[in-house]
Amino acid sequence: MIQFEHVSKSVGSKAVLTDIDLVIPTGELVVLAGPSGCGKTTTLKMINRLIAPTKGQVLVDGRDVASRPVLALRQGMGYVTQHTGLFEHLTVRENLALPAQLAHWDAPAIERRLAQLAEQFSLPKGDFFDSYPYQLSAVEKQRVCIARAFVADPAVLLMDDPFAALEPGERSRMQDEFVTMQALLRKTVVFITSQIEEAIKIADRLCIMEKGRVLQYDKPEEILTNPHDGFVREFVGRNRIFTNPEEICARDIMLTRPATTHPEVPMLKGMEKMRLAKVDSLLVVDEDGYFLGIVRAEHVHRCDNKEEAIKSVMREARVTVRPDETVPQLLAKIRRYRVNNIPVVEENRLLGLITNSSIVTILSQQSINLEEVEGL
Amino acid sequence: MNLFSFLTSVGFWPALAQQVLLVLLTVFLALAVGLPLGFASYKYHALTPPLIGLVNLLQTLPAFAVLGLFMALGLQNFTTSLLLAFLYTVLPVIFGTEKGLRRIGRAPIDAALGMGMTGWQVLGRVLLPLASPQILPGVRRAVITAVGTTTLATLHGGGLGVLILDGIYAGDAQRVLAGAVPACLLVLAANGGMALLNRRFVPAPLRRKEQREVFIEK
Repeated sequence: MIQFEHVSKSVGSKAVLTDIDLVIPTGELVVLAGPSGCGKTTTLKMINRLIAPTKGQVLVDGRDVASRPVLALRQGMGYVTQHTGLFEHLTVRENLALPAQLAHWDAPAIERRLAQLAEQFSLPKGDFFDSYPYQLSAVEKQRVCIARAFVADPAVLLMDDPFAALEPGERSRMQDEFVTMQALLRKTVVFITSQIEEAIKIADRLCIMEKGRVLQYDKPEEILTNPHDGFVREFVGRNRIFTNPEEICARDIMLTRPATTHPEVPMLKGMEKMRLAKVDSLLVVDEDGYFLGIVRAEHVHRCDNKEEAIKSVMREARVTVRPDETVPQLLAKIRRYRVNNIPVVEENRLLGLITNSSIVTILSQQSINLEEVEGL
Repeated sequence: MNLFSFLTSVGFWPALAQQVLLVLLTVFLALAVGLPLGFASYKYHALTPPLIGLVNLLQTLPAFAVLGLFMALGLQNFTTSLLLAFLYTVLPVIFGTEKGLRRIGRAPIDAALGMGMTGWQVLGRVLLPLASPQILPGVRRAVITAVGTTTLATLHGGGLGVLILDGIYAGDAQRVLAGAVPACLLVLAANGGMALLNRRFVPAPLRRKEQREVFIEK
């Protein structure tokens, strides 16, 4: 168990961390999330004493880290730095062996351990172990980096945004693998990310930080359901879980990139766009993003000269909504005006589009009955 | 008279020995002072500009003029030769060390400390190897400068420079050559030796591209 007790850190007169209180239970994966510069890395580095608190103390298994022999403390923790901290002058094998050598393992034991890790982290066979970091791909580097943190089989793992350098697809795969591995090994993990999606996906507990403070520390579901304050709500954004349909605004569920067209575009082009986007209408927006109206496929069909500009058949929208209107209000408008979708408009600018099906989908994801809402 | 006895007769061997000794001492001194100073100016960034500025200023003075100053002050011995050569060799070492260390960045250092290395282990197993592609060319530059400057400085301090000077006074071209040719050969040998050291000390993956890239002006 790792505990932060009233930990503050200031550099000069600048406060980096203010009164951090955290309990990280043994065997749990805790994610510190927040924008860059919020103090996540500083918090993490206090656990292995790379940074000392100005006030307060950090306890590992009930003992203040400041009172522990620093080398033994660090050797008992796996650490993955920001931007892969592989040693460029050493081979993969030498990189991996280092933590075990520092803990005075003998050579055969190290060799056995490396073979085991190669299996566990699906590292390529053959001469991969004799290659140098510059010869590896980003994913391979990352795998080696994480494997290195596991080498001496530490009880605690500190991971500072380890997947930051990866492509979205690879990143997602690594997250899956990591979740699986954690389910089997049950290490105490402190993991940093600036991506809320990554945090939600892997965290047992989630700690949202901003400007050196912990804003909310709880199970991810709880944070997504009841964000404590404005910043957390905004940071969690579209991932929020709603229990009350009146809390869901048009802004939260709208399609942010609906199919649009410019009024001067010829109808033929407009038809083609609808066909490609698989929609039956386009929202007409001028070059400054002002919302002008809607053009429907049926209107275009009725027109003989399809060379003409779209503005000649465009209609004004029957109804629009503001981004802060709630689901019951949206449903009421959809019923009253008998429309399938409603443009979301603020100060005459188009923000997005609400479709009937997007409302139904959202409600079912949040396990709210449509009937219940309609009854409101 | 064969070459060997000719060289013996003009006092070549002691001159060569003294010159080599002087070069080795200069380089040793430049390393002993330059490496820690380079490390210090990496560690305390504020130190870099005044340090580089000072050494640069000293180096801007022509070596021959400084030698003249020493002579005018009546200082013409082994120590002044050493001091003069040292003045011109320490900068590339400081500069190369500082530059090499600065390039490493935070991540490997954090990783090394985080896995539980001692400060000395971090220095020896991570920092110096990673900085070696910049340190070694600095040292190479220093060695070559040392050979050149000591030749100049030994005009009166004893060394190959003496042979050249005496040869000039006596109008004895052979004697001039006996000093000048070995001085040139010594530079070439030093250069070759440093290339070998480069292969020995810079880890293979770091030796990939930098050969020509880093050229440190003295």
